[in-house]
Amino acid sequence: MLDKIKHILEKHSFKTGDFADIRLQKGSGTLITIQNGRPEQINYEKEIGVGIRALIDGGWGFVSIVSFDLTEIEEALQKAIKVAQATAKKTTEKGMMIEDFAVVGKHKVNYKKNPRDISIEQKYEVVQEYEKVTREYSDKIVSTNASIKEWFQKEIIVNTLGTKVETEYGNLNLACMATSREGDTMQNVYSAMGTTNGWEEVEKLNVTEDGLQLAKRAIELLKAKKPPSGKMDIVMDQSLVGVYVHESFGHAEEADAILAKDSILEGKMGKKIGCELINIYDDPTLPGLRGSYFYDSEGTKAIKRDLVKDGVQTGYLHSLETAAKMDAKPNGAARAMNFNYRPIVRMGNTYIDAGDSSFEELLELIKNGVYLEKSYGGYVDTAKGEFYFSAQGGHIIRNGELAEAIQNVSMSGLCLEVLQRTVAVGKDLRFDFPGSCGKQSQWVPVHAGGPPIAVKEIVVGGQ
Amino acid sequence: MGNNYHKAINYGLKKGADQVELFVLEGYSDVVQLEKNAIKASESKSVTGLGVRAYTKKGLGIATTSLIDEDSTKDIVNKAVKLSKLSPPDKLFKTLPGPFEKYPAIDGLSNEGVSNLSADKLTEMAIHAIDSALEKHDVVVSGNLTRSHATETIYNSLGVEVTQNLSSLSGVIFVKAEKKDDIATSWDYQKTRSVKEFDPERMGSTASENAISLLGSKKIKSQELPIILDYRGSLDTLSSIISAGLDAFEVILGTAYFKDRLGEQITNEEITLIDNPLYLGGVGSSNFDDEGVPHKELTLIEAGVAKAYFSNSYCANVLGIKNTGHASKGSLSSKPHPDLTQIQISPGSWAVDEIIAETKKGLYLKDSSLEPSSGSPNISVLIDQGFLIENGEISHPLKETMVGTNIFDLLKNINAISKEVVNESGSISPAIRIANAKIAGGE
Repeated sequence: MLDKIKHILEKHSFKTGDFADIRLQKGSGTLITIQNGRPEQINYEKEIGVGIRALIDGGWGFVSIVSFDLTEIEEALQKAIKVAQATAKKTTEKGMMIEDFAVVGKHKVNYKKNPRDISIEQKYEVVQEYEKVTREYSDKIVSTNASIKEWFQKEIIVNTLGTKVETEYGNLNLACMATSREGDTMQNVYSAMGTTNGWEEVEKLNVTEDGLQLAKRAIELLKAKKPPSGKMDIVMDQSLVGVYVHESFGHAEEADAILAKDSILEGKMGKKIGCELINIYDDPTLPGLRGSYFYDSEGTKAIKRDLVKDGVQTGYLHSLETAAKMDAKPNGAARAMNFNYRPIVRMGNTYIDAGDSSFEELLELIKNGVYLEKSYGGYVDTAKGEFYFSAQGGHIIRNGELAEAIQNVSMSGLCLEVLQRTVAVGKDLRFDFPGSCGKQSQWVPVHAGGPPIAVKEIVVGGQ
Repeated sequence: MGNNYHKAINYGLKKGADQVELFVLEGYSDVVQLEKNAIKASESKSVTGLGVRAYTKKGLGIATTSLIDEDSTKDIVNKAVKLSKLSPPDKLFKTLPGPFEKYPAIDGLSNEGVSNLSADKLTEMAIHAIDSALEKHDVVVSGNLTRSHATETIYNSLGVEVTQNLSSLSGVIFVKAEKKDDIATSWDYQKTRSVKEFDPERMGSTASENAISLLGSKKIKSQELPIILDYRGSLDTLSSIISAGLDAFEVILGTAYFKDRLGEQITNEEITLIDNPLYLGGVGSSNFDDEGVPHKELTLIEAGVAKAYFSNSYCANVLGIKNTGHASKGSLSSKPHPDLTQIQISPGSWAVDEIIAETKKGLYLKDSSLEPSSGSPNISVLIDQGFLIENGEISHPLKETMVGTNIFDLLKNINAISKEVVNESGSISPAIRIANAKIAGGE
C-alpha cells in the first residue's frame, strides 16, 4: 500500500517549496464500562480513513476521506491541492515547509502481552473487581464507574519530501471513579492507569487494593474541611505537578503558539524563566507511557526534547513547518487525533525532573499552607500565561506537617510567576498524570509528571 | 438506503439479538482556520459513520465504524450482536423506544444557503472577521469558521425509522491585545442555522473590543462580594447546574443534585427555565433525539421550583417517568445519555444597568461562568473575563481572581434577574446577580 500511495504523490509535480502528504490510518479498540454494579457498555470501534495535506504557494489545504480506494485518494489529493491554491490566494501569512528532510522507517509495537489477545471476559473480570470493591466499601459511595479502554492503530505516512513511514501505536487504560455523598456534600475521586505497554501493566496493578484506597479517599473527603480561599503557599503532589507543567508551561513551549504570537514564551529562548531548580523535558521515547510514540503524525522520529535547563529556556516543540519557520530541527511533536485532523504541535510525556528535597523538607519549607493532591485536569491561556487546575483534595500544612484533610479545590496562577516562585523540588519523580490533552478540538493521549514541588503564593479557589 | 438498513436490522435479529438500533451519520464539514491575522488553512472533512446498539437478553453490545458500505455494515452489526451476547444482562434495561406516530417538522434545520455555501464564501467571511477585529485595534486574531452538514438516520427493530438533515454555520474568534507588558485575551463565537443570521464581523469586533477592555487588569484582595453574570455567563452557569442536577441518569446513579427534590423551591421564584428543542431557527433544535424519540418542550424549573428530570428511554423506563426525548450520544460510539438541547430562561424585573448601579462593590463577569467542578456541587473557578464594580460602576478588569461557592448557595443567592434577555440562536437568557460569594484574589 505504501508504494501505491507514494506513486499517487509522484504522479503530481510539486514546485520547490510546495508539499503534500498522505496519511492512512486504520484503528480499532474496545471499551468496557461498569457503573454502579451494572454493565454500562461493551463497545467496539473501528476507524479507517485518509488525511491529505497540501501546501501550494504558501497556502495550506486539507481533505479527509473515509476510504482506502486509490482512485478516491487521488481525487482527494487533487481536491487538497485546489483548496491549498485557493487558500494561497487569500492568505497573507504564508505557510512554509522544511527542505531536505525525509524519514524512511517502520515501527511495530512489540507487546509482552498483547491486550488484543486477552478475551473480553477476562477484561470484564478486571473491571468488575475494580468497580465492586470500590462500591462495596461504604453505602455512602453512591456512584462508581470503572472502565478499561484499549486502542490500536496502524498508520502509513508518505510525503513529497521522500518520507515513507509505517508505524503502529496502541494504548491501554484502566480507570475507576467514585462519588461519595452525604446530603448535599458530594466528593468525586478517580484513579487511572494509562500505558502504551501491554496487558502486563494491568496485571501489575492491584485493582482490589487500588479500589479500596479510592473508596476510602472518597469517604474521608466527605468529612474533610472546606478548603481555604486566597493566596497561599502550597506543596503539589506528582499528579498536580504533571498537570501544572503540562498546562502552565508545556503548551506555551509549542512552537505553533510561539509563531502565532499566542505564547508568553515568545522571545524567551536562552533566557531565565524560572528558578534554577527547574529542569523540564518532554520525552515521547520513554517506554510505556501514554504519550510515548515512535514516529509523529508527519513521520518524524520522536526524540527527547529539553525545554528548560536550570531555569533557562532551551527548546521548543516542533512540527516540520514550525521547524522550517524557526530554522530549527524537527523533533517529532506534530500529532493528529486521527485521519480527520491536520497534525499540530503537541506534547508527549512532559515532566519536571527530580530535585533533591524529601517530601518532609518540602512541608518544612512551606511551614503553613496547603498540600494539594490528585489532579482533576485544568487549562491554560498560553497568550496571557494564566492557568487553572483542580485537585481532588488535599491537606492543610501546619507547622511543617500535614494536618487535617480538605475537600476538592482549584487553583490558578501566572505561569512564569509560578516557575519563579518554586522554592524546592522533591526527589521522588513519578508520572502520575495519564491524561488526554485537548487543543483545537483534537484530543491526544499524553502523560505528565514530576516530583512534588513547593511553590509560594498561589491563588487557591476555596469554597 | 432504507432497504439496506432494514436488511442490517434483520441480519442482527437473525444473529440472535432481541433488539437492534442503527444510528447513521453522513455529512461533511468545511473549516477555515485562522492564525496571526491570516488564513492558516482550509479543510474539507468527511463526517461519516455507523453506530449499532444490539441487546440480547438485556446484554448490550455497541459497535461503530467509519465505513458504511454494505459489507462493513454487516460486519459491524455482527460485532455488536456478538458483544451483546458476551455482556452480562443490565437488569434495569427494559426496551429501546418506539415506534412513534408523529414527529415535529421544524423548519430551517437544514438551510440551503448554508449547505450550498462555497468554500470561497466561507473564506471571505473569515477575512471579514479578521478585518473587523483589526479595524480599530492593533491586535492578534486567530480562530476558525466552520460550515457543517449532516444527515442523521435512526432505525430500530421496534419500527423507529427517521431521518433529519441538519446544517449550521459556526465560528469562534480569539483576540490577543497587548500594551507594553500587559496582555489580554478574549473571544466571541456564534452558531446559526442560516447564512443571514451569521455575522463574522460582529465576532471580530466584539472579540477585539473585549480584549482591549480587559487590558490593565488588576489583582484584588480575597473577600466576599456579589457577582453579576452577563447573559452568556448566567446561561452557561445555570445550564451546567441543571444539566447535572436534573439529569435522570444522574438520578439513577444517585449523583443528581436535585434527586428527590422535584416540587422544591431551589432558586429565586422569578426563574423559570425550559429546554426547548422545537424553537424555530435554534441551533439546538431538531425533530428527534439520538434514539429517534420525538422532541418536545420541557419545563425544568417553574417559578424557582424544580419541576422535572430530563430523560432518555432507559432512564424513563427505570424511574417510571415519561421519556422526555433527551437522549444524546455525544459521539457516534457513545451510548445515548440524557442531555439538554436548548435552554431558555425567563426574564426578571431589573434593568441590567440598574443591577450594576445598585451594586456598591462586586464583580461583573462577561461570558465567564461559574460551573461546578470535579463532579461535586462545589464551584471553584478562575474568572476568565471579569471586572470589579465599585460604587455602581465598572472599575477595572481582574486578573488571578477565583470564585469559591457551591451550586446550592449560588441558586439560593440569586437576588436580581434582568428584564432584558439575549437570544443567541435559540438559547435565551437574562443577566443575574448572586448576592454573595467567596472571592480568592491574587493581591
